[in-house]
Amino acid sequence: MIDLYLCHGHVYVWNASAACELREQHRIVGTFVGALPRLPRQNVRLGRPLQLMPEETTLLLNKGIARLLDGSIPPKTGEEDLQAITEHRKQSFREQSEMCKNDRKRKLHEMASVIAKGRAAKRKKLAQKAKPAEEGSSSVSNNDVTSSSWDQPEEEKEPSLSVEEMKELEARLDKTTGYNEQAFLVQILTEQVTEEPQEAVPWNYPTTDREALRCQVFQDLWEKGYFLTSGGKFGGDFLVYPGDPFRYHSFYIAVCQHRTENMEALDIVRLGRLGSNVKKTVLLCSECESGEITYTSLQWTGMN
Amino acid sequence: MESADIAEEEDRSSPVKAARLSAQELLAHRNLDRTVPPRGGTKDYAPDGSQEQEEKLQGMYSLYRRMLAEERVNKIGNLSTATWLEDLGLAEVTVDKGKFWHHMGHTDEGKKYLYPEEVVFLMEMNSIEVYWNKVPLAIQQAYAMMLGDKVSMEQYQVYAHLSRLGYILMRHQSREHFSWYERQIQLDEYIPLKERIKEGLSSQVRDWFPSNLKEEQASSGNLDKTEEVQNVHRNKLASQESEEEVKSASHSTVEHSTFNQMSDPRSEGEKSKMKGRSEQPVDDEQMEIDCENDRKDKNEKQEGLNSSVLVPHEYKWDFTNINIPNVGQDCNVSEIPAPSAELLPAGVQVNSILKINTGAFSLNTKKGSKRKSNSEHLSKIVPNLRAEDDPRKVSRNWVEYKELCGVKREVDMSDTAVAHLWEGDVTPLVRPSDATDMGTILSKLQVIQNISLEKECSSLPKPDRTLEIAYDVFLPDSHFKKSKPGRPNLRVCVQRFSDAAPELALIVQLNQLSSPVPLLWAVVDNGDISFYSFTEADLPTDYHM
Repeated sequence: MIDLYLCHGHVYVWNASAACELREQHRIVGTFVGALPRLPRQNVRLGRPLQLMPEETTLLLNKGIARLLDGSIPPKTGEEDLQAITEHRKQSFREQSEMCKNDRKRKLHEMASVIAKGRAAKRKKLAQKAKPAEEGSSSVSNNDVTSSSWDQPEEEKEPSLSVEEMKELEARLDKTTGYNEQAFLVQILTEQVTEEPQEAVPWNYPTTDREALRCQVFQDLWEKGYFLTSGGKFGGDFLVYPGDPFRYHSFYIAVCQHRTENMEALDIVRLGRLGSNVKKTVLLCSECESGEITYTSLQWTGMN
Repeated sequence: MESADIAEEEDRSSPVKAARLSAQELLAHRNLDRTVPPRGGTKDYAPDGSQEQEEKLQGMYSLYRRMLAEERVNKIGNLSTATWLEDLGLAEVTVDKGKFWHHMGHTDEGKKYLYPEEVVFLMEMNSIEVYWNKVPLAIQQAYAMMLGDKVSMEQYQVYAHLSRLGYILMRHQSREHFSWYERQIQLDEYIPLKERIKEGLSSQVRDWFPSNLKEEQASSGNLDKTEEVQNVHRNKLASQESEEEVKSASHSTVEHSTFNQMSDPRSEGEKSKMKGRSEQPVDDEQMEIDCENDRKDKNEKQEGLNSSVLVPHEYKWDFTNINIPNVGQDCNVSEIPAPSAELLPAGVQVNSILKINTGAFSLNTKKGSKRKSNSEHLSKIVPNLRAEDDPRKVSRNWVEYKELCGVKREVDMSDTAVAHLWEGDVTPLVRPSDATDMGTILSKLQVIQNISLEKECSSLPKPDRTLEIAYDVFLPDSHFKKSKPGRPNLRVCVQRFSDAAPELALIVQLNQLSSPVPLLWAVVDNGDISFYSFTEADLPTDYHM
């Protein structure tokens, strides 16, 4: 069951895998309206939340694929919840510092030969340059282990560090405790974390005849295996794709038209022109008396 | 929560369950791939069931699965923090990091605030952590709590869309606080709005969207209502302020000159006191310039009363207490064509264009003295008006001028062979005398005149609904100052796709408000935004000669 959240009249999907599942398994495309975390300042690819058309929502609820939840429940602010959040954060910081340390150790082993080389070079330099100042650099900062170890005058002519040296360095790493709190990573949650089960809320769409027709047309085309998106930019109700809109252009512009509704010749010309201009076929979609949807396509023919 | 619990929670974090990231995952987010696959590329015509197509599609899906699952992770040191204040509908910034403060937010009584759309946008940009009752909010919660009420989802989406592109967006600062004149000379770009609305800035800003005004009033009771009424009143006053200032400035100069003319010598100090007095709140009667003597006496009396209290330079005019009739607001300027020189007596010089303020002198009509001075003034300009001496047949006054004009027209007509055409009731539109150039003739023939919507929208009916311009849009500029934003590059109205299209009157009204800055209409179709603009087109007039 996929959770849809109703928020100020719009329906959103906040979960990433749910959004992918909708598209991959249920051919529900929707529109991503949030910024993409990895590159937020662009409009080429957007991220969560996924906003659904009302027709998409109606379909998903009718088919029992998803349920609609109230998206405007404020977070819990009880004492326990606060505690849990702070505890989680503290724990995270502890783990992060631990992992940081391990990371450092790993790097230390990787860099062992470089350190040894550096030390050897330094000793050579010191010996050559000045004999009197032998124990000059003894100020060691605990925080920066790697750089301080460079200053340490050590044993001679070994391109690799001895086991004792290694242990000493590691021990020093273990001793470091004061990680800067500002360097810890925190997460800005996208999706709210809720534990307790939520009741589904009612969905009031369609309410008018027109909306009902839109829903029926949407469902019918969807059941025929098409992908549908909103057709506002093309002056129709829906754009109908033969496959995933990632990979294919749309075939049709679906225009919902009530069976009994009058239509002027000019409207037909308009729609025909529109379809031929964007190289799509205009589909006039109406409901039969039997309840089935009939489709009438318009084609612009030039007679020579 | 114990660490074991957390681990457990992560274990059961099935794909449908949201969870806080573990430390390991957090650290993994440091090395994210920051590239985004380009949009478009070649699409196939239709699915043909081939392996190749399937692979491409699956590649796309897996990319999206990865991309969408990524979370916002940042170092504490790079994050600003804010607290969401539900009652105000604003977020108070507690830690300010990064550069956003250059073009976002506002301060009130030393506190830094962000509007809902700014906060949510910054959250999405991964640069602010927002707390509510000490709980850090998820973006989902921010959407629910901060948006939808004062800032509609559509408005936020337009705000975010343009902000992501790098534009600087500020809530539309209504220029109604500035007079038409100030707007014409672009004074509104230099006077910060804050100075205009001295009080109640925050409340005024909060009442940004009129559609929610009623609800708010209903919910928060009478107290707010009166406050709002006061605000409206204040704003109105502020809008009149400028005109009044101009007017009163001219007053004080007039007074000054009259003082100079006065015979009794006053000391410099007393004079300055007089000036200070003239800048005091005075009642209506005192504002009139006539009966100067009266005034002098009055001034002297009041001076005696007030001189001990007066500190002239520090005094500020309180326009809420001064009731001044608004003289200049509805003033129409009409142009009169220059009278033909051949009918005027010699020595009369007429400015090429006479402009007359109609209706502007209602206040001054009381004063007989002014008229007298007008005629005196005229006699200075025109030293000798001796129409009788003129050998030509010229007019001595406007009545005669008009008569002569009539005669002249008839004379003109009788010269030509087409004079008989003017004998009946129906006469031609063009007279032979009009045949000076093609343009004149065409304009005479144009029975239905084009009107410029920008200038003459008064003829249109009042729009049924009101719509506010939502945002002022500025191009990204490192020198941008939010206190002095200058003239925006664009203004944006936000509409839903399902909304009715705006009527002509509304378009014209908003265009006029926005002019000369182009006004864009952002139409949001279920998260999809398209921009439209309405521009007036002038049909070309053909000159075929």
